[in-house]
Amino acid sequence: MTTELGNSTTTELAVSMVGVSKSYKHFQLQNIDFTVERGTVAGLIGPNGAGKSTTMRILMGLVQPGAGSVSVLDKAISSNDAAAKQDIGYFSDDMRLYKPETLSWHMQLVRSLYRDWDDVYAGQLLDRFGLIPQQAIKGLSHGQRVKAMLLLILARRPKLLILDEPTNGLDPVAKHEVITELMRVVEDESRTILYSSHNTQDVEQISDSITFIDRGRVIASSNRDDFLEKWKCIKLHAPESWTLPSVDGVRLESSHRNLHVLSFNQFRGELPVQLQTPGVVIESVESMTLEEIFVSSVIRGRQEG
Amino acid sequence: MHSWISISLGDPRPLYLQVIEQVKRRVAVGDLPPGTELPSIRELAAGLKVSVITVKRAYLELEREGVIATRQGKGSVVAEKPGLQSSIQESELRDHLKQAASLGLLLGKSKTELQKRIAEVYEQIQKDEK
Amino acid sequence: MNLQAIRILFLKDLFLSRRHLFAYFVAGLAASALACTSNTTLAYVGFVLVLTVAIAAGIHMIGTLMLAETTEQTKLFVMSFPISLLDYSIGKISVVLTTYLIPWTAMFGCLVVATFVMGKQGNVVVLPPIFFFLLCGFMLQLLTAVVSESVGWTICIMVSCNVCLNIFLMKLFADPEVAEVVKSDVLTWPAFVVQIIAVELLLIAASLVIAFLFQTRKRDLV
Repeated sequence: MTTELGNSTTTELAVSMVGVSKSYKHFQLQNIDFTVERGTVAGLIGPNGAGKSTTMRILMGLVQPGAGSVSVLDKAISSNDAAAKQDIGYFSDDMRLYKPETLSWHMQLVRSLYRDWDDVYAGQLLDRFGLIPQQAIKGLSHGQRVKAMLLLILARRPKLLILDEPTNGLDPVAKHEVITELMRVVEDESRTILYSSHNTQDVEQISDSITFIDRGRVIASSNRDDFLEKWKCIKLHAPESWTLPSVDGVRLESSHRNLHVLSFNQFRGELPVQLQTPGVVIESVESMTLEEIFVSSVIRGRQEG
Repeated sequence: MHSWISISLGDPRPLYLQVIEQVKRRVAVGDLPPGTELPSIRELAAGLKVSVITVKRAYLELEREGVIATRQGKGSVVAEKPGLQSSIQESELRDHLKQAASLGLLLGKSKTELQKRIAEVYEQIQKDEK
Repeated sequence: MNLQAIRILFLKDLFLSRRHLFAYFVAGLAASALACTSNTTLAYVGFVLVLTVAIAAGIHMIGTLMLAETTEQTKLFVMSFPISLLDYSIGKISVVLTTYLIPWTAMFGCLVVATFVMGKQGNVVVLPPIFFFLLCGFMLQLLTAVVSESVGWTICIMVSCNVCLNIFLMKLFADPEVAEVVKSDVLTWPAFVVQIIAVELLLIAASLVIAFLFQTRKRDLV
């Protein structure tokens, strides 16, 4: 085994949240346990209003949690700790630059605040993103604004990127440019990306771990391929007397006369055989897309909670 | 640079299986002769825009199957093992047959019926090619 | 506390407000010049303009440098910098105060000097209470902006300050002692005026301290 393969056993954490809660008037983040290993890409998926932004703002020290402990890059985070932010690059879809000023003015500003700003890399990013430094921010399209903000973050080579909905509203080409650039970041195995979206397609391909969050709670966490292997959908015909088998993680998704669609979140190869009781005909065993898995987990979570 | 592999999100199978399958196919058809150096895990991940864990898992599996060899501190290479190409082709065929057989089993087909169906398909293809 | 970062934040905001700052500075000087003319009507218009520039500059700087940071969503960008809440607060409050004090000082200084030069020294007696009143109003608006982070409340306080300013001017000029000094060529300080100035300075200092305490005690930065 190479050293690289061997590294999989040592788990250094870039982000760790234990029992984190935060209450607002109409929203509560409840008891969030969440970790991200160093050198990995972590995707945080949730519907709008699930608590993704609050979670990320807590990690940045912008919001103080009501309870629990937060550690980022081995430092405890608080609103009065400025040093930790030197190594974190934070992007939010809610974030805006100063409209009347140019991109190059913003680059000068950021450069003066961070020790690791890299002029050469900044130049390459301008090129690859097709941005003009002399252009005022107010003249930029949404995609250009997102890329401009990412440039300001990436060019100082932060150890941890916390990106809140970076691909939201991007056209496919801009999205491709952004994802290509993010993947270049993880070529360096000491750098970590935490990335949120309400859309599974945006994160599934590049994420080492994917966490589903809904209504302020973490509902499932795994990597894409494990999700795909553990979740299956089985269609079967069954007689009227048939009842839902008592198998762990089964859920009846829909029924039409005697055709039933079941989803399983702990699928094993022998399951279909176990289901074949007299009169039951299995029509198909299908993989689910990550999006279907996400929707099903959210619905299961809401029914339980 | 890694255009010899392509990943499709439309494919419902796990991404690591797609990587495994494509590496094997390249080896089977001789595009990647024994001893060829493979890109590092992070390079390939960045090139394919898939997660590091996906490529890591694919490499581990390929190594377990003896398709690639990983040298301590260096990269991975295609295994220098006699008969590798044909054994991959053989196992690919076995996998496909296995899939067909288990689907048949699930649908309640008998062994003889399956044999008959395979023969039918075989003849059909031969006929179409003429 | 990161002095280097505070300096950068301060200069950043000073740069962002450069056009407004220049406009208020020039307008302030022009209004002061007008207020010093010998034509009574023009001088009165000039004096009203001086008050207007002072009030407008205050609410404008609070609005564009402080409140707009939230409404324009640039605060999230700034707060992601390696700065603490204390750094941000010191930078922000000091730059808003500075941008206000520049036209304020220009007008105040201009009027004091012009009044002395023109030999109407008695007139000087009303200038400090009026200008410190304006500064006091500005500080209250700044405090409101810090506490409420709301444009509505800040404008509400501004309007109240303006109403009070009119009453204040009436009372000030109606005072027999003040009226006496204004007419004479010798500058003396009636106890009434000294008391007013003392109260104003106290209010200014108190607002500044409360604004700081409040700002640094916020737990959520955005």
